[in-house]
Amino acid sequence: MGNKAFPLNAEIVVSAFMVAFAAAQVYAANQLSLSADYTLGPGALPMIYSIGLLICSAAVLFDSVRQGGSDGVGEKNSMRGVLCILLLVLFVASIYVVGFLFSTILFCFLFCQFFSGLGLVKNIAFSVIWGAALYAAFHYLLEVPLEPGLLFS
Amino acid sequence: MLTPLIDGFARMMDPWLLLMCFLGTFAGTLVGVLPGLGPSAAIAVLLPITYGVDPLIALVAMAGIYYGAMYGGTITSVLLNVPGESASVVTTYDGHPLAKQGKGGVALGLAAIGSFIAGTIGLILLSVLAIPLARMALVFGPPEYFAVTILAFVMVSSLARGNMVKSFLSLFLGLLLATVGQDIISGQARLTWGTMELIDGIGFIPAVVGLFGLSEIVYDIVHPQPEAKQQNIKLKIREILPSMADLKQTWAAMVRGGFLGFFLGILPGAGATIASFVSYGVEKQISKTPERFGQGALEGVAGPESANNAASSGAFVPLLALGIPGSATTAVLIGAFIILGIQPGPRLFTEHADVAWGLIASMYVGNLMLLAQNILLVPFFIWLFVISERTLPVIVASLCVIGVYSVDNSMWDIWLMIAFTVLGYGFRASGIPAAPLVIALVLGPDAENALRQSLVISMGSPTVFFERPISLALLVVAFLCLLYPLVRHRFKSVIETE
Repeated sequence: MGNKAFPLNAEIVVSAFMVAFAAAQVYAANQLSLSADYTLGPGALPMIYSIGLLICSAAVLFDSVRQGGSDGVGEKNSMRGVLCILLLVLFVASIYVVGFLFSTILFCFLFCQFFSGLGLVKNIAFSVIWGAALYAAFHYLLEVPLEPGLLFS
Repeated sequence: MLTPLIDGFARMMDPWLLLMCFLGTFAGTLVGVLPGLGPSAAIAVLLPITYGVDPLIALVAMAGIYYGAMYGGTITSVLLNVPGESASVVTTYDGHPLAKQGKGGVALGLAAIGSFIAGTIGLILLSVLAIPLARMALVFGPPEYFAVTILAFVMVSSLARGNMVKSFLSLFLGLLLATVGQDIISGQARLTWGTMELIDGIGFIPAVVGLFGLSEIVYDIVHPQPEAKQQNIKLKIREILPSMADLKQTWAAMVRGGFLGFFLGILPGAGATIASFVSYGVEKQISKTPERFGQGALEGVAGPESANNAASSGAFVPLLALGIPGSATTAVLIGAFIILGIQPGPRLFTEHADVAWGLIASMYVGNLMLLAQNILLVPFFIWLFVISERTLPVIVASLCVIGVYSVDNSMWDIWLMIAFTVLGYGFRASGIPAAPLVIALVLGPDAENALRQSLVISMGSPTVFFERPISLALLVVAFLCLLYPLVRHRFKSVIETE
C-alpha cells in the first residue's frame, strides 16, 4: 500500500463533528429553563457555550474547507492511528471477557507486534512480564478490585 | 513567611516525602528526556495511582514531575538535537552546536546550574509573593472570583500561540462539558441525554488521561519520529562541570532568565516555552556578539534553560494563591489538588498551610536533587531514552487504562478516556490546543457558581461586575488581552506590507 495522502483533513473532520455536537447541545440546552429567580437558569450557560462552540467550529470548518487539501499525513500512517484506537477498544472490550490480566498481556503483545518492532520472543516475554507486573501492582499492592472477566468470575 | 517555610522544610525531612520528591524529580527529568510524553501526560498518568494517598506525598511527586521536566528536556536537546519538551526547543539552537564542538558537557552543566539558580530565584519570589496575593484574594467575593476566571480563560486562549478561534473552540467545549451533570442549584440533569453515568459530570481524570496521556501515544504512532540512533555518548562529570570563565560569561544570563521566566510564568497562557524563547531573544539582543547565537553561544543555553525553570515556579503563584491554572500542566495539577481534597486558592495558606509550605519547601529540595541528577546521571538518562523508545508507548497506554479504572473501579471511565483520546488526537492533528479545554473543565463549575451567586447578590443585575473596582479592573484587563492578538496581527500585517 502506498503512503499517499489521506483524503480527510483532520481539521475538517474535527470541526464538522464539533458543529454537529454543538448543534445537538443547543437543542438539549433549549429543553432546560434559561432563567430563574434573579439569576440564570440551568440551561442558560450551556446555551451560551453551545452557541460559542457552534460559531467557533463553523469558523474553523469554513476556513479549512476554503483552504482545502490534505493535512499531509500519509494514508499508511493514518491507518496506524486507526489501528491503535481499535487496539485500545479491543483491550477494553476484552476486559469484560478475560479480565485485566489477560487483556493487558494480549494488548501489549499486539501493540508491540504492530508498532514496536520487537522480536517475537522478546515481545512475548515483555508482554507477559509487564502485564503480570502491572496486574500484581494494582491488584495486590494497591488492592484495586480489578475485573476478573466473565470467563474467570 | 520564614516560620511556615521552615515548618515546611521540617515536614520535608520525612523520609517518604524525600523519596517522593526524588522519584518525582527523577520521573520529571525522564519525561523531559523522552519525546512524546509531556509533564501533563505524566501527571495525568500518575493521578489515578496516587488517588487516596496523603495529599502532600502525591503533590510533591507531581510538582517534581512538572519542574523536573524542564531540566530533563535539555539533555536530549543538547546531545541529540531532539527536544523532549517544547520549552527545550530553543535550547537546540545553541546547545547542539556546542555538543558538535565537543562542549556538550559544558552546555548541560551550565543548563543545570542555570536551572538551579533560576529555579531558586523563582521559588524565593514565589515564597514572597504568594502570601500577599492570597491575602488580597481573600477579600474576593463571587463577582471578583468570576472576573478572575474570565481573565484566566481569556489569557489562556488569547496569549497562547496559534489560532485564537481554535483556542476559543477548545475553551467553549471545555466550558460546555463542565456543565454536564446535575445542576447544583435546580437539581436538574443537564446535557446527560438520559445517561445515568453522566449525572455526576464528566470525570476529570479520564478526560486528562485521554487528552494528554493516550492521545500523545496515538499522535506519535501516526507521526513517527526517526528513531534516535544509539550514539556513543560518554560524558565524564569533569566535562559537565563548567569552568569559572564559563560561569562568569553566563551568570548574568541565568539571573536575567530567572526573573524573566518567573514573571512570564505567572501569566496564564505564557508559560515556560514563551519564557525560553523571550529569554533567547533578550540574550541575543543585548549580546555584543549576536552572530555567535545559533553557532554555540553559552548564553543561548544558559538564559532559556534558566527562564523555563523559573517559569515553572512562577506558574505556582496563581495556582496556589488564586487557584487559577495558567497552562495545561498546572490545570492538571489543580485537578490533582481538588481530587486529593485540597482546594487551591486564597484559603490554601490558612486552611492547608502545611501542604502549601511543604510543597514549596519540597521544590527547594527538589531543585537541589535535580542539580545533582542532571550532573551525575546524564549518561543514564541517555541510556534510558534509547532503550525505552520501543516499549514506552505500550507501558504508558496500559498504565493509563488500568490507572483510570482504579480510581472508581469503573469501566465507564475507561470508555470516556478513549473518547477523550480520540478527541485529543483530533485536536492535536488540527492544531487546536487542549489547554483551554482542561482549564475550562477545572474552573468552569466554579465560574458558573460565581456568576449565578453574583447575580443573586445583585438581584439579577449584571452591573454588579462593573460596580466593584477589583472585578472591573480584572474585566478590563481581560478585554485588553482579548484585543491583544488582533492588535498584534494588525501590526504584523502592517510591518509585512511595509
